[in-house]
Amino acid sequence: MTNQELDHTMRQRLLECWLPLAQELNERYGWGHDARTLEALLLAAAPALRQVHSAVEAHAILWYHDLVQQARQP
Amino acid sequence: MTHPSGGTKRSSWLTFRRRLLLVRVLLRGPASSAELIAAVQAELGDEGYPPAAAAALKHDLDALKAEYGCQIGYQRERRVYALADLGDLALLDLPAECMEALAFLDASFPAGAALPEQANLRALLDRVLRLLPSDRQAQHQQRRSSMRLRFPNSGSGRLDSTALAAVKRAIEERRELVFSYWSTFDTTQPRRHRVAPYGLFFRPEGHGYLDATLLEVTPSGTEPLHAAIDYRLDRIVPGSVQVLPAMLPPQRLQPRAYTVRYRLLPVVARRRDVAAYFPNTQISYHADGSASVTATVTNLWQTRQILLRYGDACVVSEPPELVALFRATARGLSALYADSQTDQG
Repeated sequence: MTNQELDHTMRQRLLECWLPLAQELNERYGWGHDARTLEALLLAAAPALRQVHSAVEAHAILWYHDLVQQARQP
Repeated sequence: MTHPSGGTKRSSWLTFRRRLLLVRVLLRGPASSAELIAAVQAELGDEGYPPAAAAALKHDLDALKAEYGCQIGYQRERRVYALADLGDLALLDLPAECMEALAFLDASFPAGAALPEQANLRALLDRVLRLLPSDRQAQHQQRRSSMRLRFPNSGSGRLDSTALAAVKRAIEERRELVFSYWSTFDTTQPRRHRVAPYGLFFRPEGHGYLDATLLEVTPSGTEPLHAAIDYRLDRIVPGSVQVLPAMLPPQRLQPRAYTVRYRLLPVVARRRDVAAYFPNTQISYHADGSASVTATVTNLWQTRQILLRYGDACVVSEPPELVALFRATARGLSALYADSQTDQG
């Protein structure tokens, strides 16, 4: 399932489930994302997050997507 | 100018290939003479070592040391050769950005880390670092990153791997799942939950959860049917997990969604860095230093757990169901601490 296919319920649950961890990392590493960009990061990471087996993997995926998002900023 | 004959060229090429092969084998780990010879023979067949293979092998190892500066030692007690340094054969070089990333990973996965899943990562990093030329290795040692990933504890419990595999299979095949589960309220026996499973996720404290829609629970409890529930994986009873033949509907059943509204007092909001823990978070900061927050949630239980971190600096005003949960919590805390105060008095 691609991000475009995420229906309203799936999007809501994806964000609701992962935002606490993403916000924790946001604060811990000083990423400085606001609510909107943190949601965008999670939606971009969604396909990879669906495959995770451990918290360690989830951290690495979110960290990677933060780097990608930072690199895309002008 | 003379040119080597075809036979000489082929012989030189074979020698070079054989020596590179020895290095590749030693990169995997220490190896005995017999193992090294066997690897060469397996790869090169008739063009490998002659009958006096041991002497030829020693000649190759000496050449690798003399011509390429490889440091290959012989461990007498184990009777194996071990590669300590690749010398001029350290062919991996990386751009500055990759060296920075390598330094970050090196700092994040130090030797002797407690988590078993990190052990293989550390071994991989050691191998990659050994492939770098010596000057790049020295550069790497100097730039060891101060930034590092910090991993959570893996949680107090672990889920049986067979059960986890079944949960993942049900998610991938979009099939219903049934299991026995110890919820917070189950004190004497777990209850049977039949669910539509949608994904695994992890919380900051390191626990893993299953995101699922509740279809049936026996005996029934307070959980509303079709609610989206976060099942803690280590509370699923091992051996109870079954993937059912029934397929999930194309669209997920929509759980009831609530607009949650709360006010954060200046003590936690005055720095204007209020965190977004829920979808569609909107934050308004006020002149007195407080902040009003609205968001959309489907799990009021978890919402309460998250907002409790603010203690008495958070006042929830909507929805009424969440306010009721907080009132119950406040009553419970009041009862507990009123007793404590009496004890201390």
